[in-house]
Amino acid sequence: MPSLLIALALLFSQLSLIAFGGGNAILPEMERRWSTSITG
Amino acid sequence: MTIALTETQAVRRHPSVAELFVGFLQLGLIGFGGVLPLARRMTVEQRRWLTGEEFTELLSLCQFLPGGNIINMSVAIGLKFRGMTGAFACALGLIAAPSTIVIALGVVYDRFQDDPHIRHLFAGLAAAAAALLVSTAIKIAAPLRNEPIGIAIASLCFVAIAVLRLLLLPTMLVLAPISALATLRFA
Repeated sequence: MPSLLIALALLFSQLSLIAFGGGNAILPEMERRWSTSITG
Repeated sequence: MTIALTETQAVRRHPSVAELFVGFLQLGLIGFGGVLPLARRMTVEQRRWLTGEEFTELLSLCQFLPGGNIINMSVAIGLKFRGMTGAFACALGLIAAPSTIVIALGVVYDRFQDDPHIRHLFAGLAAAAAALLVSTAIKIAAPLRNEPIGIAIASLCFVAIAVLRLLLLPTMLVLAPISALATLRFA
């Protein structure tokens, strides 16, 4: 569980850094990374 | 004109930390599908914390920075009036209610996800969310309709992300300078 939480925190910190223009810009990237790093 | 300006300045108020927190808490509670238009109405028209120009300037800055626009905006407004405490109060106020609701919904979903009614409910919500996204994309793309360079860059970006499944960061690092140069050269 702690490793999953760390992975989630890292994932969303990276995504927030590239979310230029707002959250909608990173939705495809979020879906891709979610499917490969978290659930994959 | 002078009288109008004086009146505008006279009614402008500097909110306390509590007022900032409550204001953004209310925004978070009612901001289904996007908070920005409501944020402008609250901060400029109703509570007169900012002028329209100040709001637009802050919004421009926040759109340029990474992260959610409205989160950046809440931090900027809080910082402007009450420093770091105000910034935390605004950001916390904005995310408190939606976070609580989403966590509660997540718990409900986790418990009842096998129920066909809940599955249908979430399928319907997913369809509505997809439609909202398509609608936002059309609104964002509409101003580009008379700009062939903009359309070309947007199409390239779509192909790179949606079709070729390239990473967002390198795609942005390549396309942003090309877009800026092409606009400077041909616009």
